Parts: sequence; C-alpha cells; structure tokens
Amino acid sequence: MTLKPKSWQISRRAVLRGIGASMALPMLDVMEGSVLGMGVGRGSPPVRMAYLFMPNGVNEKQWQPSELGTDYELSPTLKPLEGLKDQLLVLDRLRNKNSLAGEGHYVKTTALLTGTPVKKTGGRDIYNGISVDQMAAKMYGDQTPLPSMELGIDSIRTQEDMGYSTVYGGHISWRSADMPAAKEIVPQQAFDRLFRSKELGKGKHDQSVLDVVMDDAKKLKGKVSAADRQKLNEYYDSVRSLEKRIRRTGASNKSKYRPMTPVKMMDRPEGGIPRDYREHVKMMLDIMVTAFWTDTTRISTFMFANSVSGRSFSFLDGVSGGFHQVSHHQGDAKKLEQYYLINRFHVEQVAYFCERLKGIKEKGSNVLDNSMVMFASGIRDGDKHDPNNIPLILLGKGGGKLKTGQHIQFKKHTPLCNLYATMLNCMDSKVKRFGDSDRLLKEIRV
Amino acid sequence: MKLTSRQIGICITGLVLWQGAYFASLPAEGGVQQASPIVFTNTEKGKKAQALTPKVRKLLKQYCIRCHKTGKARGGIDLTKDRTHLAVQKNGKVWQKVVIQARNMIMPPEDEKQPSMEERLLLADYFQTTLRDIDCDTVKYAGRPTLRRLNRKEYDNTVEDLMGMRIAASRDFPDDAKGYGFTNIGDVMFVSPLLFEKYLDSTQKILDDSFRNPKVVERLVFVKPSDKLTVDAAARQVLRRFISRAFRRVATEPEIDARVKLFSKVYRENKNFIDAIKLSFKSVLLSPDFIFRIEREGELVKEGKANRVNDYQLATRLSYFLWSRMPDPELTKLAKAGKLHEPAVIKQQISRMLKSGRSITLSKEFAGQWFRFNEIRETSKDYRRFPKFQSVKHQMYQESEMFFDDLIKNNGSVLNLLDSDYTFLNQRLANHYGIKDVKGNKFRKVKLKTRQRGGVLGMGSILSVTSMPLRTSPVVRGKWVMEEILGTEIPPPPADAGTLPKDDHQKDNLSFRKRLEQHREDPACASCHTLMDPIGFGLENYDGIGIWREENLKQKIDASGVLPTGEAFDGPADLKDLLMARKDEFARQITSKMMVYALGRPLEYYDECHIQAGVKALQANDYKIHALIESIVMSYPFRYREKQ
Repeated sequence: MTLKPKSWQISRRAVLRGIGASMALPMLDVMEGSVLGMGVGRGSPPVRMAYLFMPNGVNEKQWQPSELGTDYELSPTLKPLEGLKDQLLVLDRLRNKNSLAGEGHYVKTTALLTGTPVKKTGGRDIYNGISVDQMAAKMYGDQTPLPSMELGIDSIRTQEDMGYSTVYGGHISWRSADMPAAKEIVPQQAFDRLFRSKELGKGKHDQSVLDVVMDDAKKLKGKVSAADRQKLNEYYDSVRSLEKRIRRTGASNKSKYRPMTPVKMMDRPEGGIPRDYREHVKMMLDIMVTAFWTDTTRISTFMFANSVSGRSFSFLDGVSGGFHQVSHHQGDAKKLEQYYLINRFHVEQVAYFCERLKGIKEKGSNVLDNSMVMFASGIRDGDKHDPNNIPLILLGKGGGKLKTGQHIQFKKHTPLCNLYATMLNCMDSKVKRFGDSDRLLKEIRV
Repeated sequence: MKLTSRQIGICITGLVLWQGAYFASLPAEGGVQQASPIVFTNTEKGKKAQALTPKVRKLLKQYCIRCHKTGKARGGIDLTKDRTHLAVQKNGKVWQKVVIQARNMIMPPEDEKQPSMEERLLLADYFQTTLRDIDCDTVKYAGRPTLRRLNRKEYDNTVEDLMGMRIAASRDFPDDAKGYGFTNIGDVMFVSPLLFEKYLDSTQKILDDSFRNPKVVERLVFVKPSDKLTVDAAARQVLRRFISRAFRRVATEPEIDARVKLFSKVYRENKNFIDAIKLSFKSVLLSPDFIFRIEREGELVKEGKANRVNDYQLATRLSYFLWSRMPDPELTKLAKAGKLHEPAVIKQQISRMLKSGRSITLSKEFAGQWFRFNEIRETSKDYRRFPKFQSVKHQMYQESEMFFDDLIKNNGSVLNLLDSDYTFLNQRLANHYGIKDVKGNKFRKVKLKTRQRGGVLGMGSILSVTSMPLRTSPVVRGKWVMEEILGTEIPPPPADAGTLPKDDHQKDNLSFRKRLEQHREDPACASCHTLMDPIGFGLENYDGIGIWREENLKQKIDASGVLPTGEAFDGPADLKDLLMARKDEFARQITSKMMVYALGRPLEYYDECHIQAGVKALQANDYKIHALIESIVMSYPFRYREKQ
C-alpha cells in the first residue's frame, strides 16, 4: 500500500531522456501507435464530464452575448473562447429553483450540481442531494481507476456563517444527500492519486489488512446506534471503494477503452500549495487534463474557489478589490469593470483547459470532442444573488452528441437540472429525470 | 424537531394517557422513535400543557403570524403551531430565537408594524421564562453526539501518545469542516474514499517513522519470542497492549485473534518478528475503532432508565474534551478499576488534567476557534497600509493563547475575558500596543496601567481578524461581539445588500461612520446594523491591526455610541463596562460554547437545565473557569448517552 510516487515515472523518464525532451503538453500530440512504442489506444473513446465552479456570479452585461443562434458575437467575458466557438454552448435562463431560498451564497453554491433544497444547519442533519457528477460516478465510475475526481483551491476554513456549516460553501460535489465528496487542493496529492492505483494492492498483505478492518467494521454494525451506523457506512464505502480500485487495476478492467499512454503528461508538482493562485489553478486543470487523457477518471469537478471567496485578483491589470467585494457592485462602473475582469480571467482558464483537451487526439477526434465541460456560477448578478438565470456555458461535443456552436435562450425558468439529465443521457444513461428536471434539452442534442 | 399541530394534538391527548404511550407518540430525530426528554410527573402534566396566554397569542398574531404561519413560514419559522408551554419548550430552538429577536428589535422588520418596547419585553420575557422553566429535576435526556472521527489535531495528538513520538501524520488530510463553530462535531466529519486513502498513507508513515526509532520499537514491542515464549504468544502480548491502547478500551479476544492471524501469515514468510508486528499494527491504525470515537450502546451502564457511558468511554470523552488526545495511563488505570465515574475521582482528575500542560488544547482549539484568534495565522493585510502586521501577527496569536491558557492553568475568572488589568506581552507586541518597559522576546504576564488593553476586546489578534485588509470593520467587530460574546445571533443581510468600500481612504472624505450611517437609513438594514455598528464604533480606537489611535484620516476618532437598549458609551473602556454589566449573558455564552465543544453536538432545548447549571456554577464560584468545566463534565449529557 505504500505509494512510491515517482516509481511510475521511471520508464517514461527513461524514454524522455532518450528523446531529450521536456515538452510542453498542449503542443504534444500523442500519435496512435506511437513511434516510441508506447501504449496504443484501443476501443472507442469514452465521454467525460467536468464541472468548473466560479463563486460570486457575473457581470451580466459583459457576460451575455447579444445575439442568439449559431451566428452570434461572443460577449467580452466569453471572448477568450473565440477559438473554441464551434465547441461552445451558451445557455441562458436555466434556473436552479431549489436554491432560491436561504441566504445568498452557500445554498447557491452547494446546490448548483444537486438542484435540491438545502437544509439550513450548523452541522446536524446536513442535507442536500446527490450531485450530477456523483450520479454519473455511480453509473460509470467503475469503468475507470478513479470513479470521479474532486478538485479545488481553498480548504474549508472559512468562518461559519449565517447558520450554515462550512461544509456547504466548500463543496459542490455530493456523494449522497448527507455526504459531500471531499476535494483535493494540494496539486501533488491530486497528481499522485491519479497514479496510485498502480501502487494499490501491491503490498502483499494489503488485502488481508483490509479484511481485518472490514471485519471490525462489520462487527460494529449491530452494536452502535442507527445514526452512528450511518457514519460507519461512510467508512465501509470508503474501504470498499479502495478494494474496487485494487481489483480494477487487475486484468478485469471493465472498460473496453485503452487510452494511449502519453509520452509525458506533466511533471509531478512540488509539495504544498503554490503561492500564486494562477499557478495553482493551472496545475489543478493540468491534472484534470491528465486524468481525462489517461482515462483515470471520466468525471471531475473543480472549484475555482469556495463560496463567497474574497480572493484578491490584484494580479490582474485594473483590479484591486476582492472578488466578493466587487461582486456587490451596486451599479458602480469601477466595480463592474473589475467584476468583468475577474469573470474573464476565469473564462480564460476554462479556455486553457479546453484547448488542452482539444489538443489531445484520440481516434480521429480529440478529448474535448468527447467531453462535456460545464462552467457556471451558482448565482447570476452579485448584487441580487439570484439563481434564476444561472450564468452557464458548456464546452465539448459530448462524444458527438451535442449540437455545439450555439447561443440558446430557453423559456423562462427552465430547470437547470434539465441540462444535467441531458448530460447524463450523453453518457449513455437512459435517465429521464434528475433533481427538479421536467424534460430533456433536445435543443442541444444532435 | 418541529411539532406539527397534529402532533401537538397528540401531546395534549398524551395528558390523559400513561407515560409510555405518550413517549411512543412523539416524532424523533431522523425519523426514529425515541422517548421524550421531558418526563412528567402527574402533577406537572397540567402545568406544562398550559396554553399560551391570550395576551401573548394576541401579540404574536399582531406582529409575527402574518409572515410566520403554516403555508407561509418565512425562513421556515412557523409560529402558529405551538400553542402550549410544553410545545414551546419542545420547539425551544425556534422560541429562543423569538426571544432574542423580540428583545433586540431584530424582528419584525422595520417596514412592518412595530411592537412597543413594552410589548417586546413582554413577549421576550414570557417565552424566556417558559423556556427556562423546564423542571430540571425531571429533564433526563442526554442526547448523543453523532459518531466522531478524530479530527486532524486529535489524530496527530493520539498518534503521538500511542507511538511515543510526534509525527505530522495528518498533514495531507483534507481540512476539517466546522459545525456550530468547532471542528470536533461528528455531523460534519466525513470519511470519504479520499480520506481513507490518506489514512493508508498516514498509517504507513506513522509505522515507518516509528519503527525506524529503536527506542520506540523497544517500547511497543516489549517482549520478543524466546525459549520460554512462543512467537505467537509474544505477538499476542504485544498486540493485546497495542490494540487496547489504540482502541482506548480493553481489546477483545476476536480482535486480538484476527491480528495474531495476520501476524502469523506474514511471519511465516520472512521470519522477521518486528516486520510482522509492524504489518499487523497497520490493521489497528486503520480500524474504525481507532479512527472513530465509538460508543457501543451495549457497553453503556444501565442505571434504571438511564444509560451511563462506561468508564473507558468516559475517559475518552474527558480526555478529548480537555486534551484533544487519548486518555493517559492514569485515566486508563482508573477506567480499568471502574472508579473514574465516581464523583470525587472524576473531579480530582479534572483538576489534574487542567493543570497538565496538555490542557493547552482548550486554548488552542476551543478558545482559538470560538474567539477566532487562531485565524490570525492565515489572515493577511495590505502590505503597504499595514507593513508591521506580518512581523507581529504571531505575537498576537501568542498573547491570546497564553491569556486563555492562563485562565485554565490558574483557575481564573472567565470575566477576565471581558475585561482584565493584565495581558501577556513581549517587547515587540508591547511596542505594537504602545506599552513601555517590556523588554525581550519572552512573553510574560504584564499588569496594565491603562484600560486600552485587557480582555479579548483589546487583543490584536481579534481586532485584526475582525478587520479588512485595508481598514477596520465596525460591522464585523460589532457582529463578533454580539454573536461570540453575548450569544445573540444576527440574521443574514438581505440579498441585495451593498458592501462598503474596501478602503476608508476615499476621495469624498466621508468618514466611515457617516458612510455607515447612510447605509443604516435603509430600514431593511437598520434593524441589524443598529445592533452591531455602535459596538463596532466603540472599538474604532483600534486600527485594522489593533494599534491604538486617537484619530484617523486627520479626524478625531468618535468612539461613542448608544446601545439599542439605551446605554450610552464612549470608547472601549466604557464598552467593557457595559459588557461587564451583562456578565451573565456572557456566562451563558461561554457555557453554551463549551458544552457544544465538550459534547460534540448542537445544544437542544433539553440542554437548557445544564446551561443554567453551568451559569450557576460560575456565579457561585467567582466565575472561575474550573467550576464551569467541572459542571459540564458532571452534567448528565456528558456522562450519559441516550440509546437509540
């Protein structure tokens, strides 16, 4: 069970030495049946799903493109996606109705992917719903070494506020109604986790050790209160998920898809958290790219920051305030300008991420063609805190199932969850409903 | 738990039924049937089910019900359902809010018809009396914490005690979330696949590090196979002790058998006794019995209808409360002898434990999270505006930690937190505070000559974390005092509330006070801001990093104000006097906070009596903190557990 983070790299390092390269990844197309004799892709590429969350909403005027349809001009905020316009869907008027109640931020954040009402509590009886990514992980997670991967930037350290436990504002991904999926914020840890499947179960007696602790856990079941039993279930599930991972790395991998082994994905990040936010974000996104590329997971979430983040974006020209602060713009032109610049910075990162996915060829398509990358905030305008018209874009063709290259305005109050149900369908699920959805969005389907 | 009117019907019907049937009719947490915490003697039934007086019902109808009725329950609060004292007590959480908001003029919103002050006080006092009028001899309900895993601090401390060396084992764990202000609340402590993988790594690290140290190995593997001792027998001895210590109770034979079996399997392969022991230890450190603080229901000690936690469970509760770590050998010995629960013994242990250096965690964790001074280490300020901050923030932390720890070690009065004539300083911090004659790096208790410092309100740490990067925040500071010191919850701002400029250096030269006064002209904002802002302005003599100032932006600081309740003040010293005058509200607050921390769960209406007991203990003992801690440890919910 020991993780030797570097050992997996050795063979590739050797190869790299051979070609004397430390190539920047985006430019590097891995050829099928590579001349380097690395792994060769096999089977048809799977559909991936990523959700990128931005706190504090958007400067509406700068966000909203003015025309609809396929021939439209990108808005200033979305301008960085120019090169990806044919892969882009701008979707207006999707509403997360169940996050209307409650306060302005935590509920809107934590319910973004669940679409369910959130219980106001300082801790007891935490209640949300399963999020769409975790629903997908339940359905397709067993195809890959990691069922899903949750990444973020901020630890859950913010002061408890307004009667909502800090659990809510720190998580968009929920394994079940009462359990958030912990997110990894340290790049090196996230990176190592991608490859540790190969290490898991290598220790000769690891399975025996797990058997013993599982036995402890089973014996406990009948001896503790019902509420404690629920907590213990988290433990069983965690051990089981580990055992599954160990098994999956064996020959019995369920997936037919064998990705090409990339020559070099990225360097193992340094330990700790990068001082520079931009560097931190980039690393986390690179890790997501690597995870999708290697088919280590197909489902991932990323939080650019926790709810209500007041992070300073003073590294951007023209910005001096904290994000949350400028989002309360009250029509002030200076604040609105900064608000826009911060939003645009986020979109630039989304563009970077998608460009990288697009740069990776697989079976006559590329990884972005086979992905669905959603970028959204839980509220629209920062002053109003309203989730009636979630600012949202979707990139990637979902394996050829999405009619991208459009700006669509839905009927007022169309449930946001309609999109989630549709996305699950693009992953081959037959579900008709998710959260408060009432139909599938055929408008975006091919 | 909220009662529907149908359930109240049942409650009232319950009057004529015998107790057992009455219990069964009550809804319970999580949908599981459980006994009502409030037990009634025959004579009390009538009194408790007494209906709310017509006058009170009229006031509710006049001012509250329009927005808080069934079908239109703003904020989820429905005030039409509870019609008797009993119902009010059972729904105590909500009615406690009514009390606070009526008294502090938080509700009704300003644009609604306002009750007169007389009416407000009538409502507040009526429900306060009703809520606190629980017959404490008859309330026997311990509640129960949700299963707690060790949080990061507890995990590291426990590993330190268990292995006998400090290892940064939890370094890569995800941060612990806070529930009710603290990171030791089971409800928000999750175990995810991610965390379990981290347990794998940390376990390996713990074992690798400690087995590299010959002294540690000698202590853990205290017998080796010999002519007189078979390999299995030696392993069994080593494992029995290790498992018992790690699980904080006596290891069972099946638990030992399973590990011995694992040991043998490994030993057969390479004949290395230590290696095989090391591997079997892995299955101990990954066990739920190590990771969680498990309280098996079957091991509770039955005392009539009540269930007392057994002595091992009590040792664990006590140890994690006072030390955030596993019980030490003395506690374990007393638990083994079955003596720990005896009042004289447990009191003597409390005293011993508080004197021990290990009780520093009460300051670091309990006080640090409550007062938020532990956030100072992650707080940053605008470097150009406050160039000194970085060099002094650690000293600020140190002052706060030592201040609270001193109360614990020397059984000080908790009122020192409101106001004191001393604090802890070294030269650098003294300079920061403008205090002379403190030389050197070493922190010491310093007698204060003026009232600029003293108590938590004069602490740089707290004044800094309640400020912004470029300025002070009277709002945040006021909110902090109201919520953390006086225990009055301030409702969230309306969704379209604006924010104030991030910097107080603005071109219009409007003072911050003026700017905030403008904001307060909006009635939607006023109801809360009149509560927070005056107090915050009373602290304006401290700048954003706690330096004393007489003027800001060339204007003299105006630190005067009037509380909504009418008391006028000018500056921090007056403010401290006013807080002192409300010392019993603070006593209630520290009791409530410490109970949450000790019990690992939110307080419910059935805890009212124990809060009152804590307050009384403080009042009867010159507000000395040991009296409070003892009262909490001796309380029913700390020593008992409700079966589910």
